[in-house]
Formats: sequence, C-alpha cells, structure tokens
Amino acid sequence: MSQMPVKFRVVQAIYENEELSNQEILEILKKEYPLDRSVSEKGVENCLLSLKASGMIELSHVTSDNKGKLKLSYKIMDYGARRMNYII
Amino acid sequence: MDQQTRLFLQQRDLNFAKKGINSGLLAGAAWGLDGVLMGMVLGLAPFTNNMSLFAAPLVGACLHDGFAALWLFINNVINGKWRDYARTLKTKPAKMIMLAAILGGPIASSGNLLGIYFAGASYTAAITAAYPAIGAILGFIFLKEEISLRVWTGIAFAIIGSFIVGFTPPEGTNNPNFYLGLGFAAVAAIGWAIEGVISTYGMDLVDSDIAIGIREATSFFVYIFVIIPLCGRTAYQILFAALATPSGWYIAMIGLIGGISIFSWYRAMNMTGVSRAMGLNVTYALWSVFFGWLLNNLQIKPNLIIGVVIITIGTILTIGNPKDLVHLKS
Repeated sequence: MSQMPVKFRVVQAIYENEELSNQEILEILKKEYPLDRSVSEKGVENCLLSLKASGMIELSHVTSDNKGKLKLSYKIMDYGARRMNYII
Repeated sequence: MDQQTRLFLQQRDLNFAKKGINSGLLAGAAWGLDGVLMGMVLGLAPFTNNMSLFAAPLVGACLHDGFAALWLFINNVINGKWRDYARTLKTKPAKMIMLAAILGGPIASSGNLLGIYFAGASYTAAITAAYPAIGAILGFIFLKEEISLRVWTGIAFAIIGSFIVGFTPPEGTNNPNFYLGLGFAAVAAIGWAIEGVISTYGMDLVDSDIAIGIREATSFFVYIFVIIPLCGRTAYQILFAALATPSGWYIAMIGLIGGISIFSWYRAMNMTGVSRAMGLNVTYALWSVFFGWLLNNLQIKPNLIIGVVIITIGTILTIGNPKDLVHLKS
C-alpha cells in the first residue's frame, strides 16, 4: 500500500485512536516515515496547531510525563471526521 | 489543567496566530517587490521587441512561476518534506490545489492581461483590487470562517486604498471591447478569490509548504504546455531568447521573491483564514509604491499617499486582535 502524506496520517491516527497524544503521534510517524526529516517534535507540533486552528481536531486533555514534559491529547472534531472521506 | 499550563497553551495558540499574520504581511511586501522587479525586467530585451503584446508578459509569468516552483522544491528538500510531493499528488485535496492553481495562475493572470488590453490598466486594477472581498465572502459561505465587523471594515479599507493607488484617470473608453475587458478583469478577481478558498480547503489536510509547491509547478506546466503554445511561435522565440539573456536569470532571482511571497500567502491562509490573509496580501499595492519609488523612480503623487494611508488603516483593522484568530471557523 502506498504511503499517505504525513498530515493525512496525523488526522487518520487521531480519528482511529481517541485521545492520542502528541508524543504518541510522533512515535507513530517516526516509525512509519523514518526518512522524513520533517517528522520531528517541532514538525508535529506545527501540524497539530494547523489542524486545531482549522477545526479538524481539538485538545482533549493535558498531562505531564515522568520527565515533566507536557503530553497533549487530541480528539477528532465533527468537521475533521467529515473530511475523513478524503483520506480513507 | 493548572493555571500555568493553561496560560502556556493560550500563548502557544496566540503565537501561531501571530505567525500567520506576519506571514500575510510578508506575502504582501514580497509581492509588491516582485511586481516592481517584474515590471522592470519586462522592460528589457527580449520582452520589448513588440513581436506580440500578450506573449511577452505571459512568457515572463511562465518563467517566474517555473523558477518559483524550483525554489520552493529546494526549500522543501532542505526542510525534509520533499517526499510528501509524490504522496500528496495522488490525493483528492492535491487535485483541488491543482484546480486552484489553474484558476489563480494562468486563467486569472491571462484575464488580468486581457483586461488591461481591452479596458485599460486603471479599470482593470480597480476591479481586480476587489478580490479579497470576493474571497472573504466565499470563505464566509463555504469555509464558515468567522469574520468580525472590524475585519470586514479593514478589508474594505484595503480594497479602497488599492483602488486609489492603482487608479489613474482613464484615457478614454472608445475601445469597442471595453466591456469585454471589464469581464476579463472580473475573471481575474474571481480566479484569485476562488484559488484562495479552494486551496485553503485543500490545506486543511495538505501541508501548506507542499500545497504551494504543487500550485507553482501546476501553474508552470499549464503555461508551458497550454498557454505558450496558444501564443504561437513568437512566445517560444521570446522564451528561448530570455534564457540566453540576463533577463531570464533576473526572473530566476525574482522567482525566489515570488516564491517567498506565495509561500507566505498560503501559510497565512492556512494559519489565519482566507479573508484575513487576502486582506493582508492586498497591501502589495502599498509596497509597490514604496519599492517603485526606491528602485524605479516612481513619482509620488497625492493619490498614492492617500491610497497608502487608507491601506495602512485597513491593514491595522484586518489584523485586529490576534486572540480572535485562535479558532478560525464557526
């Protein structure tokens, strides 16, 4: 199966996994896109901010990991779920 | 969530919105510089040999978009995003962006040129300056963008200011195809407005840096395989002659400025919404006056100063309060 663009994959991952965190998203992407240098903490943050501003996803809850780093969990919004037909 | 975390997240969203506004302002400034430099280069050989009225600027636009596409690709290689080109091209949103590219690139640009030819530069500039208003209305209807009264007022000011900057008393309207020219100018304004709305819809899913790379490449390919052949042999003569003279290489450098502009415009549309990004982008009229004065001995007339002041007020109103930008859609 051919790979989908990184931003599509982020939306799909949040759609399929309720309350996925930024760190978990980064882990998924790093595993699936090992050659893409844009898959970084900063790249994922920008992607999530863009999706959030356009109403595709929303922040569901915030926790800290054992290193004190913020763990931001996201869920899909109705608009994002409707746009899934462009992905699946 | 504690208070400190809440404040941190609010600040993060706000910084993102401010970055979008800065991108919109940069897009306008770079587009103003781009237009002045392109005007200067189109006054050099081989674009001035009077072989064809339309071919020269269309060849210039073709080279400009081709070089801009190349610079944007290099940028995406540097940022490690280039692999997303091939992945994105297979998707529906990429096809939307290609359609937007054709509407906003060759169709709108050709409409603008034909408008100038049939109706004169003044009327064409006055009509095309309305594209942010059309874009804002389309964004409000189709993208459900939240647009406050303050932003609507800002857009109106920016358009009126651009109209005043671009307008000079017309030289007579005896041309029998005058109304056809107005129609072509309207095609340009509508083309640019629809481009913004369709591409913003596509960018909900496509990374804006990839979207603009696809946009410029599509525009170049449509010019080279459709528009230039329609212009006949003359266009090819100008094209090859341009590549053999310094003019072609000047356009290569201007393509970098154009690439920065349109890259920033697409980022701004993605980050701040179509209406606001277009309201900021139309400030290119202000920057055209500044760079025209700085680089091309443009005479500063009262209408330019009045127009620039009105555009500036419009820009301040359009920027508004970045806190309103955290959620773009209703």
